[in-house]
Amino acid sequence: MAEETLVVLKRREMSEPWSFQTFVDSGGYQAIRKAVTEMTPEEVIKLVQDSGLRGRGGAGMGTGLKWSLIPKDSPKARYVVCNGDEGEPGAFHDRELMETDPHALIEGMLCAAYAIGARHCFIYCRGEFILARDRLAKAIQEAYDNNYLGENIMGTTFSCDMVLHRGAGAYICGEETALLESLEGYRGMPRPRPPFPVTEGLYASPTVVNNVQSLQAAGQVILNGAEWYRRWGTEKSPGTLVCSVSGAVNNPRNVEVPLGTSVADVLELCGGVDDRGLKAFAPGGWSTPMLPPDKLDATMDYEGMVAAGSVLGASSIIAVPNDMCIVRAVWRGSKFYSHESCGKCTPCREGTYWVERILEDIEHGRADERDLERLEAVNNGMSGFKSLCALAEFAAGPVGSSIVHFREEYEEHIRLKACPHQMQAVAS
Amino acid sequence: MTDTRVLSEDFYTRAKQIVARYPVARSALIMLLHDAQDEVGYVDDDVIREVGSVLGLTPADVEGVATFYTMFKRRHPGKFLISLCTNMSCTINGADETAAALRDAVGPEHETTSDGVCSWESVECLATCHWAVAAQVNYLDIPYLTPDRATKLVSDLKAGRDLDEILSELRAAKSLQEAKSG
Repeated sequence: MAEETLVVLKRREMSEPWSFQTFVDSGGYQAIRKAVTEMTPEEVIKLVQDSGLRGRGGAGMGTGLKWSLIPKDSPKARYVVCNGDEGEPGAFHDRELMETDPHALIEGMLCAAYAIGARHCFIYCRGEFILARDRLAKAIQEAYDNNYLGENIMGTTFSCDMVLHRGAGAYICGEETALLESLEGYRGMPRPRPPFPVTEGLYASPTVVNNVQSLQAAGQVILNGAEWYRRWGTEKSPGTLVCSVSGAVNNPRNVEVPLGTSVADVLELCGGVDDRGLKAFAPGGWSTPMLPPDKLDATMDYEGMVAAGSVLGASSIIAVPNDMCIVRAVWRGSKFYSHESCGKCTPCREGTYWVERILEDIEHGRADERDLERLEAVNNGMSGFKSLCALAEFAAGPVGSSIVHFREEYEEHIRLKACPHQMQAVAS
Repeated sequence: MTDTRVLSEDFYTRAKQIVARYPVARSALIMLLHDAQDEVGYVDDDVIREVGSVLGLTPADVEGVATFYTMFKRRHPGKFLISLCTNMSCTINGADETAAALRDAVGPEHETTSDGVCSWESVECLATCHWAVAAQVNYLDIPYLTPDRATKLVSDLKAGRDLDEILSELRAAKSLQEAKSG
């Protein structure tokens, strides 16, 4: 039986883990103290690089590597931005991490700010997260009151300010350049890259954009060392990972496990698949290619998921039950992408629109074989990184993978001129 | 123009403080729109003009931003806005049935009951998939919104029951099964 390994979730069972007192009583603000009083910024970056910690936002870039790419000689101000705009369908770990341990996020951001020489930090918290907003706002105030933010932190020459910013309902703002546009007060539309945010990010200045979990893990790495963190996980994907698990499972929740833990073990930690049985699962949120049950031994790490034919994404497993119509599920997902496409790039704006409509036709028995071909053609036209950001890629994943694994369900809809699941529901 | 302002003096005082947090004033735009909407209930043309005046932006510029984000409402929603997640994990666990119950109890999506109390909308993933079917009322989280619980929620809101009380009752359920057996 797999076991949970609580690193970033280590305060989850403590009493009021979000309070300043609980945080400092359990080792809080010792990482930034160690960094500022015992280490140079270069040593901090090297330590995080040595730990092998990779970004948990989806792309999996080395957190320390990202910090190291901030130009040393730029005369511009540098910024640290936390991406707390969690919106991937099926993902709910960043919300829990912000709600339960807001001070750990502040500390991780302070470590990043010290490492890259930033004076200003911004937390971009999803607009719908009221509890996270309130807890973060209180934690930031407490950090100012106790000299962990502001001028001359802990009596040193290190000074840093932090602003809590709210989104307002736009999935696309989870993409880092769209997030920066939004943070600058514009519509959240992605920017061309290069230049990358590390050289021209917020206000065209060097900016590190890190995910909530990456920043919280970085704090622990700095306190406990690279070797300590490498005790868990795999050579290429070290450490622990919080997985959100939902859908057709008995005890849906967030679990933290070493990277490299199998999907089967993660599901077992959540009470297993419920009595509806498992038809398929998306391993990294709905935007990652779905896999059939014979891939349950695939491992939750960057390489393992690619080998299994998907990606780790936001490490959020959605279990699709046997009684769910795959076409209906993929159609519902496609509405999400066409709604959230910002409309800037043609393949995404047009592709998501047409995919949704063709899927609707198939689900409602209005399609023939040519529509299935058309669906594949539009889907292929949308994928292959033809747009500024990955949203079209995300939209194409569930469609393409479902056609690979469940082609017969699509064909049955076309043959019957109806949804077999709906027919069954009507008959019973 | 001052005498026709829809936003309060307090808003303008808060706005100054919010703008001062940012190295570049325009960054405060979304926060100001949130603040104004919290005060007025929605973002109409007056709000757009007045928020723009704080930052020196044209109404067209502000409207372009406001309409990009789903949380900013151009029409007045009900006093209580119920947001129902109909994304994947919630659909898997019965969101379609809850949506039907809300349609019966409130009316069509985005419409408001004639007493002005309730409106509802289906929304994308709220990041509380472990609480599927997940929902919010005025952005406060509700777990396991089964059709029966949705119907009761609407009648409680229309009856003027205290929101905190309603929420703590709804949050007492610890699983979807428990909520269903209710």
